[in-house]
Amino acid sequence: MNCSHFQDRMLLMFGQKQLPEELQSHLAECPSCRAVWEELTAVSEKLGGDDLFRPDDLQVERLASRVDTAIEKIERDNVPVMTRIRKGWYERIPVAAAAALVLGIAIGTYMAGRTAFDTGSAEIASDITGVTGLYEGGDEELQENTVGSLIYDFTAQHSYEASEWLLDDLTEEELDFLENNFDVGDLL
Amino acid sequence: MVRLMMKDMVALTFRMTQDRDGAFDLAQETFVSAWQSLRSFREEAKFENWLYRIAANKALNYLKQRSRRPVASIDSLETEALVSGFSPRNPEQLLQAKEMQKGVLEFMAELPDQQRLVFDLRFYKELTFEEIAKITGKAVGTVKTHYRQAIIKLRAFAERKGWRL
Repeated sequence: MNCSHFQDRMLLMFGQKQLPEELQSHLAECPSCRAVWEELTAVSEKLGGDDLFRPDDLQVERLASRVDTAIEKIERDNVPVMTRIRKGWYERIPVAAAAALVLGIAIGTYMAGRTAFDTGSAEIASDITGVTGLYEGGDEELQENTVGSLIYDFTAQHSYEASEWLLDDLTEEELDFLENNFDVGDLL
Repeated sequence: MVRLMMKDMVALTFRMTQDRDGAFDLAQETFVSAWQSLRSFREEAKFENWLYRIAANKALNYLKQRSRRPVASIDSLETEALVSGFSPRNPEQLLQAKEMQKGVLEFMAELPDQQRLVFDLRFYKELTFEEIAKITGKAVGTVKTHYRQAIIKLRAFAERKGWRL
C-alpha cells in the first residue's frame, strides 16, 4: 500500500487516540506520513472536547424542569377523564358527598310525591266508580255533574299526567261510561 | 443520567445550530419526543445513540425550516453562557476556552449540515462510522465520505488560522 492510501485512512482516523497496528507500523517508518499525522493531531487539539460546549448544572436544571413541565402537560392532556377522576378520587370526597346528598334529597322528594299522587288518583278513581254506580241507580243529571267536576278537579290538581293514572284505575265498563257521556279527551 | 445526557444533547444541538436558545429548545424537544416514543426504542440500540438520532433530526429540521446555516460571525455567537459549563482554572484558561469555542464554531459553520453532523458525532461524540450511519440513516460509505471531506476542509481552515504552528 502506498502513502496516499495511508493518508486517506488518517483522515478517517482523525480525532482517534488508538490507531490500527498497520497504520502505526507505517507511521514508524514513513516520515512524510508521520508529519501529516502530527499535523492532524495538532489541529484536533485546537478543537477541544465535547465538555467545552456543555451547559453548566444550573442551566441543565432549568432545562430539566422545562422537560418535566412539558411531559406533565402531555400526561394531563392525554389521561382519560375516568382515570383522572380515579387518580384524584380522595380529593373529591367532599364534592361526591355533597352530590350524593343532593341526589338523595331529590329522589326522596320525588318518591314521596309519587306515593301521594298514587293515593290521590286511587281515591278519585274510587269516587268516579261511586258516581257511575249512582248512574245505574237513576239520577242522570246529578251523575253527569258530579263526574265532570271530579275529573276537572283531579286534572287541575295533578296536571296532564294524572289522566293516565286515573284511567289505569278504571274498569272497561267505567271507561265506556265516561267516553259515552263526557268529552274525556278535552277534560283529560 | 438524564441530566448528563442533557448536557450531551445541548452540546450537539448548539454546535449544529450555533443558536443558544434554539439549542436549548431542541434539547428539550428531544427529551420530550423520546419520552413520547419510548415504546419504539429498541433495546439492542444504545439509548444515547437513539437520543442523538432524535436530536440530530430535530437540529436538521430546525436548520431547514429556518433556512439558515450557522452564522460564522463570531460577534453574533452567544457562547458566553455555554462556556460556563466548562470550568477553567484561571482567566487565561477561560480566554483560551472561548477562543477555542469560537474557532470550532467558525469552522463548523462552513460545513454543510450533513457534514457538520457527521463531524460532530465522530469527533465530539466519538461514535463509530457504523453507529453514525444508523443515526443519520446514511450508508457507511457516505458517512465516511462526509467525514473525510470535513477533515480536508478543516486542514484548510487550520492553515488559514495558523493552527498548525
